[in-house]
Amino acid sequence: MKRSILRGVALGVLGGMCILSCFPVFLLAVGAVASEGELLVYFQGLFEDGGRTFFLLFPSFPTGKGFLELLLDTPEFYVVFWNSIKITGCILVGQLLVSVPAAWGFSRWHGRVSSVLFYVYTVLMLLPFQVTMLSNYIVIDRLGLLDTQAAVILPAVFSTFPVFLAYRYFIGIPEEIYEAFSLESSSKVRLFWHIGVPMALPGIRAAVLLGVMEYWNMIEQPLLFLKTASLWPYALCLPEISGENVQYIFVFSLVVLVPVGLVSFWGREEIREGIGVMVAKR
Amino acid sequence: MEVKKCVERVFCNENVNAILLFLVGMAFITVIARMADSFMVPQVVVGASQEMRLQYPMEIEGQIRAKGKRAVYCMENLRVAQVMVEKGDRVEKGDLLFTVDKDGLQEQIQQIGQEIQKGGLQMEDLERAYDKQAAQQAQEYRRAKEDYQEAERAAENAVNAAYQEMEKARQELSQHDGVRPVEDFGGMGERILGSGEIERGEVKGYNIGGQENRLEMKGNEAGEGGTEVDEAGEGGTEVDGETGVNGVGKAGTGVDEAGEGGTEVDGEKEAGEVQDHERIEDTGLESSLAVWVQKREELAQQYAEKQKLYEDAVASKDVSLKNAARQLEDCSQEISRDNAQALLQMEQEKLFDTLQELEEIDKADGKICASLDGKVFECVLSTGSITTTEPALILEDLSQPLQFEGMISQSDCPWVEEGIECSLKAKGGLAPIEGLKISKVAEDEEGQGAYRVVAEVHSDSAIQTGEATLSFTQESGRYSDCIPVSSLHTGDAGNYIFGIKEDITILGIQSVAERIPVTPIEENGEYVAVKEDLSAYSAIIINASKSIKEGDRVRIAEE
Repeated sequence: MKRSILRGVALGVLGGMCILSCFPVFLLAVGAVASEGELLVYFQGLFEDGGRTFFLLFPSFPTGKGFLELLLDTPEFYVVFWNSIKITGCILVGQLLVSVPAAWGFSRWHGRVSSVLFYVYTVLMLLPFQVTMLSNYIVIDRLGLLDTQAAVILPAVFSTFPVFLAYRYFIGIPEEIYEAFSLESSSKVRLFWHIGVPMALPGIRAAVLLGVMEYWNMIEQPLLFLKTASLWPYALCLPEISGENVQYIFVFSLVVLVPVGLVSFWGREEIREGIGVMVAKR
Repeated sequence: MEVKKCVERVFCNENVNAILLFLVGMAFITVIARMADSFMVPQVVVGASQEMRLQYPMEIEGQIRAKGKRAVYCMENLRVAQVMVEKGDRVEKGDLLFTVDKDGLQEQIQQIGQEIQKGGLQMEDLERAYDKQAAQQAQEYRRAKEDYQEAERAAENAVNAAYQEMEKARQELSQHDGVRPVEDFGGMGERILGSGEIERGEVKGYNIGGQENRLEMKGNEAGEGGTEVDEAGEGGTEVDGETGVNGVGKAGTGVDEAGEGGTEVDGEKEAGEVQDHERIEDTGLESSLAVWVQKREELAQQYAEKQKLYEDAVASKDVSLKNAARQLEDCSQEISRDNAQALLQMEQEKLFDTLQELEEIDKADGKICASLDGKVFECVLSTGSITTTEPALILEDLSQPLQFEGMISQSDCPWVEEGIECSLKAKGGLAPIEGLKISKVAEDEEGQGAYRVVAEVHSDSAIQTGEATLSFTQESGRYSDCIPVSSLHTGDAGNYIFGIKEDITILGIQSVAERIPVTPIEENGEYVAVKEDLSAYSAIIINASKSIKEGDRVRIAEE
């Protein structure tokens, strides 16, 4: 009885917290279909002194006008959307090409140098962007990559987090499997491709999915390195929120949430497994 | 093989399919959105400002006509059988214009012939009447003259007769006065002679009762008579008309003095005439004297009557002569001819002319031909209509130089003036004639605020009459910045144009409209000269497919 009650309370609390955590998304969805006039009424307190702010569960006069305006009348949206797709995709592909082999190398290279390097890699992973921002800027400027999307992509491609995540999976592969494969083939590449990658796939997927969530919302690097507006990702194009464009912002935010939402939904198991395995391996 | 397996593994996953579907959908919507945007973005035509002179081309619609016109007349009251031309037709000399009905023509000719005859007869009648009148007058004159002569004779005779009678009566009276009875008087009596002397003498017997009453006088003592007569005149009895007896008085004058009741004898009774006056002393012969006096009174009365008759005769003569003279005068006046004959003569001449014209038309079988090369400007005739005194046709005389006439509103072209070079293009595709000049600009007579513009056409040009367009151009001063009028806009803040500037946007380098305020100086309907220097703007929006405002993205239309 006590257990059931406690369980019920726990469920209730957890459920409430879940609802609370999902509430912004719900707010976003409702705001996207509410008319501009209604939103001005709802958020009067945000735009005017002394006004009230409240929100209804469903708008009185829902409209799809915002979607039409955004999707048909705002070609700038597609530019920034596909810029974001491009930047994120390039980073992820680059990471796959760079980080996974790097992680494999770290996992197969035993020794003090390897350890030191990996340690340094881990420290770098922990450093915030602001610490390395200036050095990054100087290097990119020297390379002549300023105001190009490569200035955002390349540093992200050589990010340390995917290496770390894939390394944890590579380390977990038993040595016996390598030995058994070495009986069949002595090729290190084949060993990596046929044994290492499939065995570490959950980790790799987790790295990719986490990378999507990180780089889709990237704002600092584009803000620093990209001056040309046509190269910006969507994060730099959200205008200042005012009474005149609140509906536009709601719709914009909802639309750019969709890809990440889909990816998160698709890779929720991998993310959970990846992070869990990583913690368990520790 | 392994790659294929890997790909299959990826695309068999539903979640991956969903993401891919989303991305494909977004790609599709991207295309749709960019297509919609390309429709929504205004397309503009751009140009640059130019340094130029503003030209004011004007065109005036009008007509090319001959300078002169000729009216074609026809005899009136003729029925038109056929009209061969209509307004706008070109005719040459000798071309048939219209024909008249021959039957009607013949009738008219006949009618006029009759009228001419009638007129002739009337003139003859008038002549005859005049002759008759003249003859009558001559006769009357003759008669009047005869009457005058006769009246003169008769009157003369009457006067003479009356005079004779009067003389006779006077003589009788004087004779009677000569025989005044005077007895025992001593026979002295006296009588006053006509000279005024008093003759004294012896008077012998006086037979009053008899017819002869004579007084003889003896002796004559005169000389003093004049005055004595006068003295006697005072004491004597003056003869006046009433008494019928001449008393004492001066010869001739006694009657005058007695003329209150008497009659004067004009010229016939001279002062020298003697009126004997004898004093009859009362010697006792009163009965003879009375008889004598009575007789004398009778004679005097008779004389007076005769005298009166004579005077009447004279008066009557005067009157009759006067009347006769007047009649003669009346008859001698010339007979004045009135204007009837002259008018009739004129009428005849007119009829002759008309007849001649009709005969000419008849000779030509009723055909009326053009007498010159021309173009029918107006034709009031129609088949079956009757000709009048008004012109049947008006032809433009094409043998004379042509001219262009057109109207233009004063508000459209206030600066048109004579001497401006122009070109003329006739309707019908001929090449325009250059080198013409406006020869005349006049205000419209009807006062409707328009100018009547005339330009003479060269006589050697091949242009023909008809509708045409006169074109001419006026140029202004040179302006450094001229832009098309379509690029000029007007707003609350004044006039402005839109320039193109390159703006870096999320969509890349985009052409964006930029508002440039300008101040127009002059405009000719096609270009407008502005004060500002627009050389810095390489592209100015001349036309846009939709309304634009500052900051709008635009797409430059490809030429």
